[in-house]
Amino acid sequence: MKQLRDSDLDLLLRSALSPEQEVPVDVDRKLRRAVRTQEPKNTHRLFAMTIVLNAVMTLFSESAVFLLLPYLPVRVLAVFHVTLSMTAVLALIFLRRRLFVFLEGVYSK
Amino acid sequence: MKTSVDRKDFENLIDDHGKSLYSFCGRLTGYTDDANDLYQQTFLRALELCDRIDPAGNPKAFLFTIAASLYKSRMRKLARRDRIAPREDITDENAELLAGDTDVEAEVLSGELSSVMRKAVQRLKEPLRMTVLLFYGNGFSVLEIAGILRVPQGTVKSRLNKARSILRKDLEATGYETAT
Repeated sequence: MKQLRDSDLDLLLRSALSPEQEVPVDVDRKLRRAVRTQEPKNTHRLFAMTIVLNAVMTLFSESAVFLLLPYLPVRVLAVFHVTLSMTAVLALIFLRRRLFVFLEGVYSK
Repeated sequence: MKTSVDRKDFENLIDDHGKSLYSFCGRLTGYTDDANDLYQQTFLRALELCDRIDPAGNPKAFLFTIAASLYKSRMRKLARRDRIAPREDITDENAELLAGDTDVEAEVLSGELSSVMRKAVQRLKEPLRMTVLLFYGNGFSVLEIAGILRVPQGTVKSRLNKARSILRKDLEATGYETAT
């Protein structure tokens, strides 16, 4: 049986895993073309705008529901809906970047 | 002082870290097409987040963080599909992807054992494989890996120990006797 010392395992792993693979030319070319032509998307701004607009519309529509419908369960649900939307806006305001880091799992340290 | 990267700097990032990222993607996925997709998606996602890349910081770790994150979410999506229709085993073409561009000297020195080791690494479970690839394949420190995988440093160390023990057993099974 061939002998492999325990301390050699690290060296073996490094030598087995360190050689780098060349990026295929077509993949590299396609990526560089995309990088030159693609405009950076501002997904965060869109996300924030969606949350704020949703809260504003919810506030408006549920206020109308609250004022026009005299049923208690409907009014309670309307209050819950407004509270939920406002909570999302408050989370956005207080957490800011940390919220996006949490959602995307990407950080820039 | 420059706080983010522009388009030209971004292409430099591809030059500097493209090969190591592509190797990581290849060994992580084990499939050429998946590796190509993950590699391109990583850079395009990084482009969207380029205002958050600090050139003075550690852009390599940032890119690997995105790759790891994309891979994990992709695996979650594919898990159900794979249960219904399992994918093919690693072919010769994919085996090349795992191997990388080995030079003749390295081939002679490590030879068969390296190949056995790469296959054993490929059989590791995803969290262990990712940790081993980052530590041994890309030379990241335990601290950097903890940041990339968003786990405590202790978890990284325990994953490395567990992976080493599994790999040692694998080597023993293929005829190599490990001595302490």
